[in-house]
Amino acid sequence: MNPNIYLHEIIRTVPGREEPYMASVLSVHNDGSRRRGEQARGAFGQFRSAGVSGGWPGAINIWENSWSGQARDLERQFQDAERDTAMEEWWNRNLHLRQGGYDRILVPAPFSPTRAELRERGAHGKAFLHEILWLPFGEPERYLEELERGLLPAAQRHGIELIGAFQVAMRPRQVLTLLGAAEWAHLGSFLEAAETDPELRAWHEYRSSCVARSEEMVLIPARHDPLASSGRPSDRGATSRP
Amino acid sequence: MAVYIHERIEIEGGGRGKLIEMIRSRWAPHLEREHGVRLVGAWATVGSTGNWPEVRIHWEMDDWEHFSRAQHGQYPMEERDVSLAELWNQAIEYRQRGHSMLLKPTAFSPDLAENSAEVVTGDVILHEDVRALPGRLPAYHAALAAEFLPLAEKRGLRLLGAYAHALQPGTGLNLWVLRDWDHWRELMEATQGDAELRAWNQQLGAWLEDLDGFLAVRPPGTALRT
Repeated sequence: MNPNIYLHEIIRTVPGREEPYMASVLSVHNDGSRRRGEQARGAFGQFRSAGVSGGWPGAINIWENSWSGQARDLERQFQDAERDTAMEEWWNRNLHLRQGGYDRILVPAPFSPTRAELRERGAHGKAFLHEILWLPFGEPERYLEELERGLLPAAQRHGIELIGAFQVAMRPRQVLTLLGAAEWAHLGSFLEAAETDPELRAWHEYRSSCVARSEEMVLIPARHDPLASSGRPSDRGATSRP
Repeated sequence: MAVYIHERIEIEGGGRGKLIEMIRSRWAPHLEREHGVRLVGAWATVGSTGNWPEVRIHWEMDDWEHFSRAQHGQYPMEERDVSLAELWNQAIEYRQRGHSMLLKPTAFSPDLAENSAEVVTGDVILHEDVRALPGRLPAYHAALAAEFLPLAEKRGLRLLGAYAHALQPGTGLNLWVLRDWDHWRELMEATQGDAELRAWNQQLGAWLEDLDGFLAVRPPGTALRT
């Protein structure tokens, strides 16, 4: 059971400034001088568009938090006393990196891994499939159950692992999923098998029967993000130990 | 029956607080004094729940006759209201585009005077964009009044307004007032296990194509710097 919630941000970055933006926003979130809510928010993952499918350019930030931590963070943005001046300064200093964005608050499915669980198992990837789906009212919960039961075992056989599966707070029709591929070849194999793998075919039949609309993005991880590397020495290139 | 204009304004750079301050201190007093148009709210969209940077402004007029008179008095601004034209041009630094909705209230929607008399106050606004299935908006509003409103009030939500678009069939807007951020947290923490709210959400498909909720806030007394 994942007890957290997630702040999900789609950022309209200034073209070509995706990596500097992601490093900059991470720096302000890691700024120890800022007073935080009772539970500090951590970076769950940062990504940028690959331009393979869906809109580009853009960046995605996902921050792990709790309801109380999120409420405190928001309260501090809109009050007279105890203002978050470091965030205000950062906001106005970095207008050359981003133009705007669109955020959601995500509620994880019970089986959706936490940040700590992803780190513990060394989750990483070169490509990530990010989808926002619009389903009939009442269907999102069932969709996520079906995803766990019908999709994930088959996806794992093709080298695809679950990074996150969520409902969207205050938007009762929406679901957001994030799958990771350690190699681009895994993503290719997974997509190719949609028509040949019986389990994936069954999944796609269900999916086609209920998805009213979807928006996909194929993402790559921020260079500094732990999801860009398994943490194993062989993935660290020239700096790895012999 | 009152008439409303709801504006969604895309903000340039760090101009959100400056635009809200201009609306509150100069624009709204001018519109009320010269044209009788009342400001219901100038709110900052909470970027963590929707589009950013963005400002929402909600105006109220008495009726269609007042709407006509107020717009006749404003347009074209360069001839009829040069002070407003100057404000409009000064605000270009903070915003260059927006989108407005012309709205009619439902029969159960309180107006500004009623909300003020009942002292409906709160820091946080839950904004719901409603898109109904063809021909189903009236039935949704009937169910909203009969079934959801009592559930919402039991959970501390106060209805600021429920509206139908005057020109776009099937488009609606709901505005709810939450007491503060702790109230929002309580609602969100309880939602997954709230059988009554789940049952309400399950049946929305009988009337609606979609419902998008996000938060907006009444800004603090001193101007936001973002």
